[in-house]
Amino acid sequence: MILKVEHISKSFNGLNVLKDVSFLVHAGTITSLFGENGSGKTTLFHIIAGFLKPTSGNVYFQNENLHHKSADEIDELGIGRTWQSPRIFKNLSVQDNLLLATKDHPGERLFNYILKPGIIWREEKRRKIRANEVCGEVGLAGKLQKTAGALSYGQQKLLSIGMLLMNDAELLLLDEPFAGVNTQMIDAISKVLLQLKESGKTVLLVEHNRSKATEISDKVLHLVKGSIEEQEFITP
Amino acid sequence: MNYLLHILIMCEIYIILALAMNLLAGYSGLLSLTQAAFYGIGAYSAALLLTEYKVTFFLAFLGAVGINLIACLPVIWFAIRLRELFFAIATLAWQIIVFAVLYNWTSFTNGPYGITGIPKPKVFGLSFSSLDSFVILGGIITVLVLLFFIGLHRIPLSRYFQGVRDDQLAMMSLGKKITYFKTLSVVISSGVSAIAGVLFATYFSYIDPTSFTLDESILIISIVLIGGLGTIKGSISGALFYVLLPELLRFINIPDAVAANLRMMIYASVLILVVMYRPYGFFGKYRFE
Repeated sequence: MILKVEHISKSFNGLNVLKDVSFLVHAGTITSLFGENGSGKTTLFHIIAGFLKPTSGNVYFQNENLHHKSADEIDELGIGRTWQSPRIFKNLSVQDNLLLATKDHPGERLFNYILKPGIIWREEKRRKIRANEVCGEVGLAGKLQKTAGALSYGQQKLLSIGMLLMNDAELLLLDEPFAGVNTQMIDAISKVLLQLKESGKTVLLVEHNRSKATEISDKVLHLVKGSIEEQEFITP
Repeated sequence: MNYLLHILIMCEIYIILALAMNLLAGYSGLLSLTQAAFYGIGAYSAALLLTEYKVTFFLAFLGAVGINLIACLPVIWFAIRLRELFFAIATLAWQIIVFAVLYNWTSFTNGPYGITGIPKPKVFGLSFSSLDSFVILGGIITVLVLLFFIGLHRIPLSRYFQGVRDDQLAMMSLGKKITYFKTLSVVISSGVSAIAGVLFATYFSYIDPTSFTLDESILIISIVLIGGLGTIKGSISGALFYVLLPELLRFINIPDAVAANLRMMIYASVLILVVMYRPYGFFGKYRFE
């Protein structure tokens, strides 16, 4: 078990958005979370990723309680997330987007340019090679130097998944990865997700497109009015 | 000839200011309304160090930059966590505070009377008191500042500034400490603005608070917006446009009584046209939404 969500409740000004939500996510699986608009899916994602604190309950990642951790600390632990609308750096190249997502680049620190410039450029070179590999893995081969804002919407979604890979995330929280893209792109994204699963990554996704998400999922959760109504295990 | 040399010096000063502003607005997405305050603190620091403490130009130069690195700390403290317009408003507050201090602390800054008799630069025994020698000194300093920014925008650090500019939330979700990059951007920009202040003070040998008002801050922003955000050539072209266009308008035959005002009206109209038809400025890569 990589993620344990335990009795999570969240209310905003007296409105209960999440009510005693509990579930487990196992490592190396794909779990889909379904629910109508306003059922609390995105709120749950915000809580797992540290952007919101729950009113009560706890989230454990690899047995570590995330309650007092900030979003960047949670990212450091290995939970990465995408957003409903891809949050990429639209004025930068695909390569720069991928490099920005990497952790602990020595080039982030000003004094490293004086103290250890050699390490910065070695790391930069190494990470550029990795960015090129990731580009291929997410189906964006040959688009490394393209401005991210010029990619199609579906390609931007693939890029945001690629950024999580560069970020070495173990658990990928994907907010509606199939929304707003054509069937061809849905297939491409599904393929990438299955490859991620095969490589040992864990995926928890929120989705409206039930048929496609169910097709690739190991487990499906139904969130209704803030509560988990049903857990369904998919047998291949 | 002296007129042309004067224009060149003004170009040098505004290119430095535009490059400093471009790091904040163009690369880091921080719309600062306090650039004239940084510029003014640099000018006053140099002026006081040279006139009151009789230090060398070199020390005054380093002192002004050093003082500016400290003087930007309040901006970092109260504005760095804010975004977009809220950041702009917070920096506006610092601009007003600095102007009020320069204007009212008469025992130290001589208030509205300003500081006179600021000596011309002397570096390693070489005096830069003539106009042509000052152009050369200003040119050398401007080229060094330019090289600094070209280098800065080629290293990986620049990517993080641009990440903050494009999407702060995405940066946070990738585990980046955005306040660090914003702080760095403000510190560097403030330090570089001080260099322009030192040139201004030693060139005119006189400064008073009216050169460092909110109007000046807005003007510096308009320079980078017109030249284009996020590129070095945008900052340079914006500065040249600002300094040269009113001078070119002098050659149009306008009656003396209305010349100054009419020139500024034509200049303002050109600015409006640029904003309407070239929203990215001359060479911009980015614009505020």
